[in-house]
Amino acid sequence: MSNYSSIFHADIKLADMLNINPQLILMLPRFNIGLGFGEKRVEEVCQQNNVPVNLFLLLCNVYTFDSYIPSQEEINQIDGSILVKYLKESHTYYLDKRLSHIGKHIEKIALECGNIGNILNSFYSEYVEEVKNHFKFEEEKLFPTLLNKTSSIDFSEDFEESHSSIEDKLTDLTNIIIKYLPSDILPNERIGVWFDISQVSNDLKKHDIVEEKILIPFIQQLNSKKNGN
Amino acid sequence: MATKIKILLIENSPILIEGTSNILRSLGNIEISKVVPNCDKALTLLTGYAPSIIIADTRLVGYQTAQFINTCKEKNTSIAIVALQTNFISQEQLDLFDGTISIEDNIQSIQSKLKTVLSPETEKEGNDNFDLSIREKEVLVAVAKGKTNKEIADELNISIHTVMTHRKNITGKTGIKSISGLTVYALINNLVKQEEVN
Repeated sequence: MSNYSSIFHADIKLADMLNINPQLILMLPRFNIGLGFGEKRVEEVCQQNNVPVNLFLLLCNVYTFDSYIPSQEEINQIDGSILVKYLKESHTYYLDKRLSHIGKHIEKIALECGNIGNILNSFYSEYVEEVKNHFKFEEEKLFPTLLNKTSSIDFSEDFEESHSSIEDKLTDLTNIIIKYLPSDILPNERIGVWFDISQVSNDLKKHDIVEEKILIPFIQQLNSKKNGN
Repeated sequence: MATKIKILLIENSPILIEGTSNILRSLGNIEISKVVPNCDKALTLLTGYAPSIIIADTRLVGYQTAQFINTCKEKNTSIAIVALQTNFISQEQLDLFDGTISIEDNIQSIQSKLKTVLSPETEKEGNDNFDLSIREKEVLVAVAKGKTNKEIADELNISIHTVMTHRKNITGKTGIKSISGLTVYALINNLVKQEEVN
């Protein structure tokens, strides 16, 4: 039930789109789109990089506009294999780039915390494990459905619950680091971590929204096609 | 940074969605966690998801107000349902909601209306204190030690329901939801010793 045509469309300059929502810069490495694209329009950049323009715009719109709900048509047009590739790249980005970077900061802070330090480290490791397992579930159970288009899968409510459990742990971590650790411990480091966590938390929320608004409807229409046969 | 209050918004107008989201975001501890374009989708969601408040555009609820509100409350008794009034609707229908936000409201009145809708729960404790009460600390320590709600209830001679209320309040005051997070909090505040945990 799309209420209006996309705000971002193929004719606008990629640079202009990035000015409207700077977070979208993260889309580029996930699609292997290099920087240095000058004044090129989105359409051109996508063509030159073998990226389906529709999918690229769909993702940018969902990322940017809370009210944007893709129509069933837009969903049906998607190339499932490229969507999977994008999501896998996102997972790698979160785990290998953001979470490991934050982990290093946490370790530094934990060193100054005496006994609490160990607990802090294990709290964070637990969190990363949970994220890894969630991603693993998606990659092993959900994504293959899109690729071979044969098996159907039932979503349990656990899927959305695990999204929010992961989000909660990150909020807990921020609270502990900022509100409850004593004031004399590495304040600058903690402020740095606060920004890092804030950024990754927002990005993860958007990732969840992409899954809820694009991935799941896509799988559901695959299921119904299969059942209709 | 305290636990954000989760809101489900039933709305299909882009202007109202973006506008409402921004205003609620600026109130700080509130988060529009889901937006759906009609009541049916909202009801489907409610099976797996528990927001504290539903804000529903009166245009989308239409004549089925009583039915819709009843079904929501059946799924989740503590949910509050607030009307976002964008069209003419009878006072009778409006009274069925737990509160009404009009598009003419300014930010302060929106904030106080939402507070009123939520406050029946917080007022129960009669506790304006942001520090944990003695009872809450006892429950927290038990949680940090890995006890189940039943075990805590038995140990403290209270009902499981009361344990859950205490846990909710602890989360409300500290902003910490997960058991491991609460454990770290308990350790930092010297409510438990390391050996007693894990």
